[in-house]
Amino acid sequence: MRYRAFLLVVISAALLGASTSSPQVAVVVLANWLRSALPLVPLALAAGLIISCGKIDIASGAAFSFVGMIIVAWTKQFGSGTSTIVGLLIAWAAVILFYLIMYILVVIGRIPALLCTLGLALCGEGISLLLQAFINSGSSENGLAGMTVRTSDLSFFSWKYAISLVVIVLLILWRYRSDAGLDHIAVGIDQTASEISGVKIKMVFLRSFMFSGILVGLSAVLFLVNVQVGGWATNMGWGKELLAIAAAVIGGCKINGGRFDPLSVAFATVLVFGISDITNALDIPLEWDYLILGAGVVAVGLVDGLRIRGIQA
Amino acid sequence: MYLYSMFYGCLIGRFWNRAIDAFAAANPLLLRWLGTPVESRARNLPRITYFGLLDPDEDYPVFQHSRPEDQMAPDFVEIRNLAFSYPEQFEGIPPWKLVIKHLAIPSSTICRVIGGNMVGKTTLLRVLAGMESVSYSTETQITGSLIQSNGNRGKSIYTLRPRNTFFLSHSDRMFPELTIWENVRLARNCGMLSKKDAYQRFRQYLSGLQILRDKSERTCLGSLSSGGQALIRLARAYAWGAQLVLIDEVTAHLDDDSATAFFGNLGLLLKDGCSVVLVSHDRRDHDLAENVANEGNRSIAIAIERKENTSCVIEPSSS
Repeated sequence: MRYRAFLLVVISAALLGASTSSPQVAVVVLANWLRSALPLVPLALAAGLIISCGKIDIASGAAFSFVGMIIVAWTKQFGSGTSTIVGLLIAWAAVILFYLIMYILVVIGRIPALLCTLGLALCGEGISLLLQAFINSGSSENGLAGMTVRTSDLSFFSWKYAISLVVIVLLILWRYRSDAGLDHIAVGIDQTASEISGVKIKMVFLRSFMFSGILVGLSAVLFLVNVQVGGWATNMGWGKELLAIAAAVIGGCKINGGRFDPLSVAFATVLVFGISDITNALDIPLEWDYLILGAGVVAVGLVDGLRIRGIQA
Repeated sequence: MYLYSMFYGCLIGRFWNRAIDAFAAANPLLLRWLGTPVESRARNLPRITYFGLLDPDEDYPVFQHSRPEDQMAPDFVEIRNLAFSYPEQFEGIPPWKLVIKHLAIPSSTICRVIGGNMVGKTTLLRVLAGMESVSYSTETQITGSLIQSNGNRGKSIYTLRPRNTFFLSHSDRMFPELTIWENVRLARNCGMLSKKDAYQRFRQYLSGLQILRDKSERTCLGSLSSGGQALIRLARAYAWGAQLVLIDEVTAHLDDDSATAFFGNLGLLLKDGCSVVLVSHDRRDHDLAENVANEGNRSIAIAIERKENTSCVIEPSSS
């Protein structure tokens, strides 16, 4: 895992070096890169958490969207200031409830995770659209203009560097220093063996889904504070769940569970979500972004597969 | 308000039971699925779920210790009148049932389970380990010093998970990607000791093993041989101070040296008052178990016999 984190830092540094002509420009590009990618680190960590315990979540993008929509709608209805903070708490509670429902359906109801989260993703998108309709019904303006909150109301969340760092450090401590982190990985590796070992499997899943809900909420709030100029759009998170899964896989999470390194996932997130900045600086047309990213994910899958087969041999 | 709720609750419950009885009487398949409420009420027996039911007309063989009462050690686990069958039922195949009329596992004893294939030896171990949900009737009694609570807290289905009990199974691959200490650490919920004590016992256990002496605790489990992995399975039980170890064919594929080392270390646990339930088809394992028992421990044989679709735990003998 440490090698992967090191490799990701080297690749990122190489791309940064190739895309800039001077150190001053490199600093500006890196700052832009981090500004756009850091709020999404918790989203990728949430995806990594679910993947590493052997499930998959494709509803995180929809949840991400409706968190912002709830805060914006609440602020629009009740005004700025304290109301925004109340809206934030309600949105966070809503996303945690969303993930609790996901846990009940996937773990207790035994619905396949992909199918269940697909349905919940559509529900989440529906909630965002309903909230947009609600916002639009109260004003003469149409469209997405003005759907934002004052930065001063959520000024705490403008410390995105510190918050992201704290989240990563806490997750590293949890993963490598606690029994709960070990249980989490064990359930991802082999659920039956975990049961025989006396691991409380349902508790592991509950913890994973709850942590994911908290992280998705945090990611949306950091992003909301970040996107003041453009405002919040209904579809702000749609599709981001796939990039988050890609970041988690590039960051070392095995897609069928059993591996999770928060630091590598964080580096991979910066790389994945900063890809457009890199291709822009390298004068590569925007259309190539997804192709490069897709090829990268396939390459990582291939290398991991070969490595595992090598170990088994 | 409370009384009204109780009244309506009883009323609804009464109608619901009558409806179930009527449907069940009309359809035998549904009757089996619902758990024979009509028959059981007619005989004034408690309603048992689909998992299994002791047939009151059947004369099941009874487990009895052949040792005198004054030599009896206190029982870790004692089960009376328990029936188990798997919930998954296949069309055209009559459901199989494991019946335990009486089974007692005393302390410091090796219980060797004897029986052919398909009689339910592994199932018995899985039930004892709490890996399977069992049905519980008013006739069922599960007692013993390792049983956490004697009551079933009103539930008809629950899992039996005795304290300080470790299940060592040949089908358990454990976690080859993790280190040997991590593999041992993962079993902490089965034991009662603190992590510090467990770590000390684990170090002591490793240092006493010729085969693992040069291995560090950070060695990946996958890099060990099958013999080494079997010893790490036992290390879990040893490190966390097991009182009951359930062994399912763990030693069957080991060579003679590894099997001897395994049973030698099992003897250490027995000296601490632990009991072992051993399932193995290999005569060598039973001989090695007898050797361990001869060093101051007791040994009993528990036979499981199958007649048609019912397996019974019967006729133990002591040595």
